[in-house]
Amino acid sequence: MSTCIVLHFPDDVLEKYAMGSLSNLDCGPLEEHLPLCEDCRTRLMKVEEYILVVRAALTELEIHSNARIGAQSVFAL
Amino acid sequence: MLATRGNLASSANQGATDPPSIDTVAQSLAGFEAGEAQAPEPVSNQVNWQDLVDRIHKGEESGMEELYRLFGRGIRYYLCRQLGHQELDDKVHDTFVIVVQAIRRGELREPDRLMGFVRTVVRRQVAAYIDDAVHSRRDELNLDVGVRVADRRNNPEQTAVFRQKVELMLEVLRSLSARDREILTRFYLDEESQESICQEMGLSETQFRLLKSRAKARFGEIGKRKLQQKPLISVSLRTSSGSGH
Repeated sequence: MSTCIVLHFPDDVLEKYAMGSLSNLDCGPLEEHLPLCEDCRTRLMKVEEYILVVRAALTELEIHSNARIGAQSVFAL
Repeated sequence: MLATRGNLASSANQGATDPPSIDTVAQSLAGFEAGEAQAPEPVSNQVNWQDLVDRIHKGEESGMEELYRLFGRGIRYYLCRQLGHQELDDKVHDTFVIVVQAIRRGELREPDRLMGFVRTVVRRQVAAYIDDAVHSRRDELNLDVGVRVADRRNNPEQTAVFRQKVELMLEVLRSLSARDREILTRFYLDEESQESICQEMGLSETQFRLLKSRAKARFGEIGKRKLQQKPLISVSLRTSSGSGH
């Protein structure tokens, strides 16, 4: 019986894939694995969502800190 | 998730600003905590690719059923991720037909490479759909009436759940030092590579990974703690309203 032994992919590989920073060479095995593996698909969805949440929160913090710096410089004048 | 008339109606009744149910947030937070459950063995370890390809080549229905069962959901996910929900069933079907026809014509010489072949077909399909969309958008540029635009926004409940998660993450980020926040900003927001961040900020790879995984674990912990607090509030409210009688 011919079988293809594939392990589950770790979260850091899924994270790189989600952020588009995984090399083309490394994308192949993952994209061949994903259609067959519910577990990796579910984890990839969670990783993608986590990235969106972190980005939204970091953006919000940056906006607030920039606004604070702006206000401080106005008062300093 | 595809929006159905039912859940659109319930979302509309609930209102865009109503908080999502505790169960909804709990479900979507599951998996963010540190430590992963034992994952089931991937399907690819259990498939006899040679036998499957042989059966499809002979036109046996069982082969085609197995192929569809094997990759139907995964292909759907990939296509949906790349192209959105619109006409998803048709796209999955088109991909399936192309793969089956190629196998029947004997174009797949190495059955063990079936998933590699499927990946190539799907990528070509995605490229073709994007090309089509670009061309039709160019053709329809001057038409204001009758142009259908897919609404890819989340429904109000999903938006509310997402907002709650962002609030939790803000709490996590505020608890970090300015330096740790800078590291996360450079990685997630500015998309700088791990190598350059580590080099410029004097971090080892392990320190970098640890910071990321701690932030993620803390996010899961805070979410869990908040969810445990919520039922207590509802119980105390019920008790106090009951004591008034």
